[in-house]
Amino acid sequence: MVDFSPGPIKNTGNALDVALHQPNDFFVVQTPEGPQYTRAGNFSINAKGELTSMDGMPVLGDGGGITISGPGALINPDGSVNVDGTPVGKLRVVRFEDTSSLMPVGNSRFKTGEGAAAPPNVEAEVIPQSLEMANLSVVSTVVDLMSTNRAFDLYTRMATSIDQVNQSAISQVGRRNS
Amino acid sequence: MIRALYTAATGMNAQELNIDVISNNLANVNTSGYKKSRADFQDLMYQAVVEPGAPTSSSSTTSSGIQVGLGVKAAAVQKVFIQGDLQSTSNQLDVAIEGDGFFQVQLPDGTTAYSRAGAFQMDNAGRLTTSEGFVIDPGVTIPNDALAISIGQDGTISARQPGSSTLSQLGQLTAVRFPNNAGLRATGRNLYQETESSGTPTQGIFGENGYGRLSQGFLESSNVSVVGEVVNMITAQRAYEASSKGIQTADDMLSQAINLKR
Repeated sequence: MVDFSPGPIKNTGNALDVALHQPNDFFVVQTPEGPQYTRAGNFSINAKGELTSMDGMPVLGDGGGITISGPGALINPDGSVNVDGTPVGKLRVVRFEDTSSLMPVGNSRFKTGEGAAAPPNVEAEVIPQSLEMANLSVVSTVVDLMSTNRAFDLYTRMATSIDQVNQSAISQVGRRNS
Repeated sequence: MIRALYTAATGMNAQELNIDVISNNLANVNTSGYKKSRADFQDLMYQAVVEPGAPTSSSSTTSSGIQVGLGVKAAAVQKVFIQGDLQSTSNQLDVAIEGDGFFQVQLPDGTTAYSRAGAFQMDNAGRLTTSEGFVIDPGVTIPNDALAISIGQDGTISARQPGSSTLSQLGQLTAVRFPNNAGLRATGRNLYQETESSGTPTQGIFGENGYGRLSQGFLESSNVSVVGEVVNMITAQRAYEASSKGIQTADDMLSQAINLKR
């Protein structure tokens, strides 16, 4: 299971960084395998001026891709993208009421299963010039690591004690008391 | 088990890169015009042991399957172009850009590079150069006998010569902006080069239409915050340590499994 609870927001000051406000919202990225969903808002621009994810996949807006042709790009809290004050598009944000249908595919992206219904578009609520950090807590992860290690320890001990019982059974049963 | 060893190792690798980037930022804390770098990471692919939605009986399916992540990779190391503090130097050839924009620099091989470091100097011909000696484009030649040089906030360079009470205009610095500053290639020597990801440069005038304005007698200090970088360093070190614990734990478990057979 993937835990979709939101991570801490870190201000970066970078104009093409955006974080999503609502926990179950996702950006839509066009990949060769179809649309995929991500909460990683560290965007960049490719040779054609299209807004892309860090690995160069186009990020979708309300009407297809978003092209940033000139300097001075700015992403507003409502997801609209301005270039020197002129609107050039609006980030498409979708909401999954049930995130259990999302499968991680790597590159900080998720996909839905075959034939799943497309998630509904929602009004974008983004935090400009910020990124969402990973949502894991080191403490609880290390505690999980320790408890898993101990559980494994317990099973190996059980296996060795059963082995000892078997060994005793083989060597002692049937031996005459002297 | 074996998977965990390699997964944790990717985590350690990633944090090594992170420390490399942080150390470079800290090393350049006093480099004027330096912009800090940031390492961005992405998770690696997932191994689907059981596909989500796989049937568990004729009438039921798994709700989330079993997917195991295989670690982390670096997606990008990009520059963060937030404004650095302006530092007063009282040197008449020091210029800082307040806001977005770059100076154009002509490299000896004829290509153009871009810089925000405004610690200009003059070469033997009186041409305005970077501190490295590369000529500023468009070229501005300052007469040898210039008494006072003035660089306006729009980049106009003028000088007062002996016997004259007025400033005569010598030229104007061109401002350049990019669609995506973070996509520029840093080449060292405080220079950047255009890439596919930065987009094509647009030229303009300093102080107009979103181009930053110039301040003569100031230098833009590096935008590295020592406190911020040290905090990043601590978190990177702890993440490295945590990944190494992952390796140790996996190794412990392997050794226990092996010791089952005595």
